[in-house]
Amino acid sequence: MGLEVRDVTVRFGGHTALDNISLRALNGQITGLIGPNGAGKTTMFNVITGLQAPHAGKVELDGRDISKLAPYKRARRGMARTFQRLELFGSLTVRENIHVAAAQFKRRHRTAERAAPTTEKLIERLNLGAIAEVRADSLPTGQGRMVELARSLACRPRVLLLDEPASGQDESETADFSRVLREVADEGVAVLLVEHDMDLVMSVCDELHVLDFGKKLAQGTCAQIQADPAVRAAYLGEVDDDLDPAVLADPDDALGVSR
Amino acid sequence: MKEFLTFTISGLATGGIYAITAGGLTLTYTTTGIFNMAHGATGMFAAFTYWQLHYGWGWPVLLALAVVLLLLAPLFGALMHLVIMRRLEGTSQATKLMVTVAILLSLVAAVLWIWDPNKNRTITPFFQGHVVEVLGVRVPYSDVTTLAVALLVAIGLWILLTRTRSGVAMRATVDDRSLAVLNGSRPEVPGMMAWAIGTMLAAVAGILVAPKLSLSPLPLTLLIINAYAAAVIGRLRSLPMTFVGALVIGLANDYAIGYVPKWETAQPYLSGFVAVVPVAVLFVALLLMPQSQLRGHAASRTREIAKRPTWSGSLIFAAAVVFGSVVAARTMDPIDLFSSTKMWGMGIIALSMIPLVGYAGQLSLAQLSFAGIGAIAVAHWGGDGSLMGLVYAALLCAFIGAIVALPALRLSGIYLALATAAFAVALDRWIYLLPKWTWGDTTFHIFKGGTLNVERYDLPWVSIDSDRAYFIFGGVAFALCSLLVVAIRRGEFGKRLLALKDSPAACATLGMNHKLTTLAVFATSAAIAGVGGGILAGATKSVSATQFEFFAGLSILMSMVIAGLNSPGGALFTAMLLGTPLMTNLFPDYVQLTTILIGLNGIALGRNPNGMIAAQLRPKWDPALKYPAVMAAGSALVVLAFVAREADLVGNYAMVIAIGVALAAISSVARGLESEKVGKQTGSDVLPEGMTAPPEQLGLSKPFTPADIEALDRTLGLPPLTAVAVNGAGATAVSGGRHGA
Repeated sequence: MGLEVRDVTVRFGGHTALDNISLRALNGQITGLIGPNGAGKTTMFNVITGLQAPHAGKVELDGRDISKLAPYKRARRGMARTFQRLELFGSLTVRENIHVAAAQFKRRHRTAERAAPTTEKLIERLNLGAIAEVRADSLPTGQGRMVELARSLACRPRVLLLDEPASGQDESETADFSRVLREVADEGVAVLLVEHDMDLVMSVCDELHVLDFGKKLAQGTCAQIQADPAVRAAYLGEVDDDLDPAVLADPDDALGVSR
Repeated sequence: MKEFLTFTISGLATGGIYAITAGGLTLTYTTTGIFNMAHGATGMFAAFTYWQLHYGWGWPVLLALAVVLLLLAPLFGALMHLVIMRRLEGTSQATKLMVTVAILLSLVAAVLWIWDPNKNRTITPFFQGHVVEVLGVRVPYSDVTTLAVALLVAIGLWILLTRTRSGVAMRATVDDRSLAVLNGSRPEVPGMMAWAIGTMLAAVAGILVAPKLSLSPLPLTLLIINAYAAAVIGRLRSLPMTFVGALVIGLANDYAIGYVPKWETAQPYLSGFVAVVPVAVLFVALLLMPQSQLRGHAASRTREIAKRPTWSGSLIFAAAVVFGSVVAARTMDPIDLFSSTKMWGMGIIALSMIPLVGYAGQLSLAQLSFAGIGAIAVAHWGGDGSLMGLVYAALLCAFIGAIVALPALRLSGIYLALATAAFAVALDRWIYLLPKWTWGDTTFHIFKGGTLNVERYDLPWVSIDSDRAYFIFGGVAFALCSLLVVAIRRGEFGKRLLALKDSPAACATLGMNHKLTTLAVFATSAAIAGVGGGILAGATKSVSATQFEFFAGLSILMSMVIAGLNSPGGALFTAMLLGTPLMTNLFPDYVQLTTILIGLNGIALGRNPNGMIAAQLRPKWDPALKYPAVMAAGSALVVLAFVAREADLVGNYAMVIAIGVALAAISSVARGLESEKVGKQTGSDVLPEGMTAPPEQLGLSKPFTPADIEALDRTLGLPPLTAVAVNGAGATAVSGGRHGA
């Protein structure tokens, strides 16, 4: 069970941003959604979370059609996301940002734990203690992404959508991030990840979907995708097979650069 | 049939004027992104200027028209862009709107100042007496002129925006300003052109409509509300739709004027409705607008920052307010005291704006109207001074506030401001003026045709019938409301409101029902405003509809924006400025001074969008919170001054001066201690041996001596300067050439 998107089409005027796309993100797995800029990845996220109404298609969560639900109702069914362009609550502190989300969850569900302890646990888990009292709009992007992740985890999601979470992060932040990501998936959350950092994608994802100009280009495991010629042409970059393997081993020679 | 034709033609002429106004409005909005609330006021100002030139100084019509329309109006528009509008880059939609409201207030005040409002002025229609027969109906030339001008404006604007280079540049600027700049466009030029042309169109409309209305500032200024409806029908984008909308509104308006009086049973109830036909159209148009998509503010860092208030600071503020009200009540002379009792009601109305406008960022222009509803509830249901009246006022206002918020749930920003403006104007022009009517067994008569009498409240253990006691009661009520507002901000509800202001999209994806939250804050702040209205009514003991007019509400909101929409201190400032005779006592000859000051300060808002309190006052008194001893000593001085006055040891002036000195002392002593502490912290770092001061102070606040250079060299492990001079080529090295001295 998890998230299932069926035959979604979105048009902006004459431009087809998503053309009959289906994908699935299973619980306990990290599913990657990759493709060049303008491929329709963020649009897909907006359709899934309800911020963008599709012209056709359905979104299902754990087998139930949620296409007609308002964004906040989808969130209450266990969907959370982060944004490519940060959407932090800038006039609140980092702690307050997380607290708002935790309190929101607390209001809906009769959990024994109050909002404040949830907040503190998340601050600890994501190493945000040092910046807990900083206003969110004064954070650098990398830290801002960690706060958005903490905020979405405060909703205890069953499906977590992450929109380019590693952009703007330095290496140690990305390492932290992929560790948390794996933990979250292991807890049974279905994670859908949009990302350009291919090292990160290939190291954490269980399955990949590739979009290009609103069309589904390929789908499969990381190895399958890396081997797919169409994906390499469109996105990953072409490696010319006709080249002499020896040259490939020492690319500087091929370029005629002397050392 | 002939009658119908007559109304049709006059309706088309009315619509033509709306079309010209709405066209100018849409032009400035699409090109600069600023919705100009002062558009009508500009037209009004132009009409008065035209009157002065032609009727006042006897200039020929054509010369007067040319000077106003081709010279003064475009010049005024261009200046407005240069001095005010272009500085609004990076401020919120609300701030932009409020700046134009400030211009509106200033223009109205200026006109009232320059042209004595008690003198009657008229502008006769153009070509008076000349008529042309159309299908047997005599149509005055002036109507034909109006229609022709409207048509010319329509075509001209369309050509300008779609067929000329500058028009395309204008549209490019608003679509993506930075991209347009990168492509070599100079955004200043299209912006200035848009304002010049927009102002010219406002002037045309103002001069054309002046003969139809009397030449007085308010009706002409508020004519803009009618034109808003047309602009909204065009979604602030489409000029053709705007023009069609304007004609429809003009026709509806004149048919209503023509036919409603013939409908005898309904006539008394609908006669006021005639005046709100355009407003009703505006409301319907807003309801039919497609829902705006949930948006975030994607990393746009506004310059507007609200600090979270602390409990200790807020409690001190509340205590100071109560103490101040006691001091004032015991020292002011009876006449001033009576006219100041209403300040606390005003203050609470101002406080009601903090959760809604300050925290949630929802722009409501109708808070004073809610206060009016509160006053009515108290007068009708409060009985003889029962405190239950205030409870009813709060409940009724919360209910009506929730209803008014319904369109707000779907709209945001300027559309919400317009919806609340429409509501306020509908109350002013229609609901408050309704005659007595009966529904079932209940008889309604809202303002009883004039004023309502209100008893002062009965408190269980103390009488507040006297002005003095009521003033203190007001102070206590204001202090309590200020604490309520702080509690909202510090609680979960307040955090949710700020979150909603910062990013509606993120709120939705966290599972927050933003509609319910908006509804709740609207109802809450309407309820607070209602209580404020009730306390205001008790202060003056009688209330009339004019006290709660839309226009008066703008002044309160404006003053709050200037002082700071997030601080209860701003509400206190507003109360003192607008609710007491302070300004009239200080400057008896300048009736319009308050409004002009508010207006001018509001215009400067672009420079300091956080308000005066946050920018000026808070930094001065905040440090005091960290030094309870200073606070206590200062407070003791203040109390001592008051006790001395009570014991008749000193006079009023001495007391006021002593209190002022004590307050200033609290601030300066605390700041002194604070800077000393900061100084000590840096001083505690171990300085390199031989240095006279911390390095960051050298050469700035402390002289940079040769001893310091040596000490620095030693610390950094550099060879001494003298050695360098001997060994190296730099034999001429000046002592101190290193380390930038």
